[in-house]
Amino acid sequence: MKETTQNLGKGMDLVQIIEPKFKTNTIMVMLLVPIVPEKNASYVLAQSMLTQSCRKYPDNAAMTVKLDDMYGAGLSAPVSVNGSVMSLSVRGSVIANQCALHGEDLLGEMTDLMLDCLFDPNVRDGAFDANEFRIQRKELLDSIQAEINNKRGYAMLRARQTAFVNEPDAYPLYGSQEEVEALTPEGVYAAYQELLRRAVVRVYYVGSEEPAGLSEKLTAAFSQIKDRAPEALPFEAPSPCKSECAHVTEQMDVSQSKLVLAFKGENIPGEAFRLFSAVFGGTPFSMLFTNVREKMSLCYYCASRVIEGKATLIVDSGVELANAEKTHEAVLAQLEAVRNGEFTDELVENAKRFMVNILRGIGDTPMSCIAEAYQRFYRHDDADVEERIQRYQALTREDIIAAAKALREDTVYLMQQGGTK
Amino acid sequence: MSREQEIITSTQTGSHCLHVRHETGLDIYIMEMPGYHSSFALFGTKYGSINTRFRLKGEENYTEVPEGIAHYLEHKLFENEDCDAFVQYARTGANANAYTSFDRTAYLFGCSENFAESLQILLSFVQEPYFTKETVDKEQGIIAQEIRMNNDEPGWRVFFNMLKAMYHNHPVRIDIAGTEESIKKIDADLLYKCYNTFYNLHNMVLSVAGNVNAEEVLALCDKLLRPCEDQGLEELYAEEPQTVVRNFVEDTLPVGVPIFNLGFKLRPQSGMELVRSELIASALLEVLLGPSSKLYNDLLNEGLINSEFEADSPFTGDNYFVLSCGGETTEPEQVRDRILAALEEAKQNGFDRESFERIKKVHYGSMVRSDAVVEENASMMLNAYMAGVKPFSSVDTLASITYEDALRFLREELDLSQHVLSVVHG
Repeated sequence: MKETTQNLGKGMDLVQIIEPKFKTNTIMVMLLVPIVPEKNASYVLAQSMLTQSCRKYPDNAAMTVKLDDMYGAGLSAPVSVNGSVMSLSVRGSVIANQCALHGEDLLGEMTDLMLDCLFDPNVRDGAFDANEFRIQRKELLDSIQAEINNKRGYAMLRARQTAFVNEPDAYPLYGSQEEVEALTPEGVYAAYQELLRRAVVRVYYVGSEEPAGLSEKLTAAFSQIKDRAPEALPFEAPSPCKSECAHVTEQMDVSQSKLVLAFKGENIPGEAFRLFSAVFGGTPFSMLFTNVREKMSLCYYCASRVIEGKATLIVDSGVELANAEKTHEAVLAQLEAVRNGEFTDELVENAKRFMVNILRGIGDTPMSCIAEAYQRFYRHDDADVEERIQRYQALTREDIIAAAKALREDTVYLMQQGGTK
Repeated sequence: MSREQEIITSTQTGSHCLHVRHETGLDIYIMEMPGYHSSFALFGTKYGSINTRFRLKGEENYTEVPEGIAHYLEHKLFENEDCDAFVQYARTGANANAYTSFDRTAYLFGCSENFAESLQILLSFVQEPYFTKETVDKEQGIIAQEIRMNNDEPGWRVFFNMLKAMYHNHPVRIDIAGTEESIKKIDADLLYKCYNTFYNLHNMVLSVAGNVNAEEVLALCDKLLRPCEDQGLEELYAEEPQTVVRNFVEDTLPVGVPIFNLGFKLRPQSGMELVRSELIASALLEVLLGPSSKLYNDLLNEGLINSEFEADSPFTGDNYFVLSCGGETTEPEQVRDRILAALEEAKQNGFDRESFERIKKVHYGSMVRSDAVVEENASMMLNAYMAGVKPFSSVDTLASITYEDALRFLREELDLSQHVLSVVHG
């Protein structure tokens, strides 16, 4: 595997990863901006417009036919958050040229298609095409309304809103329904122009072949944007712990309650925090799984995860309402046990092996390559996989105890079964 | 131990795997993938939620077992007399799991080191059941919560409601995990009965792919697999009419936008006939209902669907075959009527030949993508075993399906009157 990074201009880099074993080529253009809550709706809608149509393929049908012709190429617009940074991406993926049945230059076609999407969108007179805009706005409104469909995800969302209250990333990622309804084709296109000026741009290419002319094409395209002023990115935005734990309870007409707990701690080193989570609740041999699920039979899942950049640990579980308090107490008891060092050295070694196994598996899929390269960027950490493995190996049980001791309970969210929202 | 073995090569992609018929009766598929760091293994049995009535050679009567027992058994098999399999895997660093579906149960792990040690754990614990009253009772609460979690999932509910409205008697209509009532009837003796019936190596498969060495895998199999006799397993499915139970079913759950499934009951098929039909059916639905179709774009423009709408992969197995599509809409009945009209029109007048050829390209691209993914290859080989065909059958058959095949299938196999619309409202 060969990785190179090339600067293409102000706040813009191209990372190329060449791995001959892959049978697909993937290009991901990430536009990274500090979250400004009131801009979320217009940015997300603008980004979604880019992959649905462009001037050359002016509606969903035309775009789909083009992608189908490229052996079912993928074109998507993922959005995510790290710390207080929003990442709005356009991602294209196509089978490698050597797999094409008729000698097509699929990588060249994908490169051109992505540039068309980004720089020649479906715009007329300074506004996105009105019909396509109407469809995409409805799409976004439906997504907001449908958040409630996935009960575990919805409970997590609501808990985050309380845990990170008054912080930019507590705000709905897609904006509110009212904000989306107020958007116009002109306003959203203007927001897109602004996004291109504000964003730090990271372009990732992962594939089996060198992408001829990709850097030149990107440089030429981005140089058309006037007054580019990429902003500093707050990837580290630790969330302060509340002086008193917030308790939120909501009723919903469901048959299982959801309990979500947020814990916060200052200055916990990244590797130690993640290893702590693996010991505590992030693995099927963790203390939460072994005790709360297996020994106490309280739930089907009770798991922990670290929210990077926020100094926060989330624990979530699906429980019978009558057992919610008991489950809460059991989680706190397990945290106390870690603080008191009541866990085996074997558990620590097992957690390290678990982390090492994940790290060594990186490089077998294009998306794992991109995720790892992006992690190095947002963590401001150039350590390669082997170096990161050594860091995990060097951690001790005292590091895990210290992480547990640093955590304080910040939020308790309960979705209560049986009620009506 | 003796083995019969063959290399199976895809005529389309050139990929290949090793198939071994082990002396113990186990079918083993191995795909070495040079250059990959990770490995993936699946140890599966042809035993899922539909296998509720069975007998062995020499038995006069059929045994009928409670709904959800295959899934319950999967949960309990992780627990051996000495310790939990997850604890053993923890010592190798592997990421382990298992799943039960309608027609199979599979135990799996993925890892990037200590493959041999993890494979040893997999082959051992699946062959060493340990059920007691205490361990079985302990699982009730956990599985009851899993059942409740699934019941709160609108996508799960809308799908199972559709199956219940479609099948009169076939056990595909029951929930994979059973019900809170049915799992109360499960005890250690019943679990042993099912284990001894279905976890016979003649009814099982091992599929491994990635950074693996075939000789190492086979040496471990020779060491750990326990010879067993083919017990002449027979299963009985109640007679199932070709008709659906009812055309419409609705339910309520907290949802932001109503969701729906529209399904069609088809004549069950098996083997290579089913492989061909699945390819034809997926291409047909994609041409007629997919994002490039006229219907899809009309419905999208009229605000009747959003991009959540999609045609599902054919849902098939022993004596069932369902084609379906679904998504979000506030007007499910209107969407159903439009879909039925479009399918009827295509039955009468045919459809765009060029679109059909384009969708074949899409399917080829999808198979090429899967071909480079360790987990996908292991699953592909397991799926082939379960379907009673050779690995790569799908990708190798794709080139030979024609527009005429698709038109014939549409006209002869798809009876539009045998549809079910399932809706979950808020």
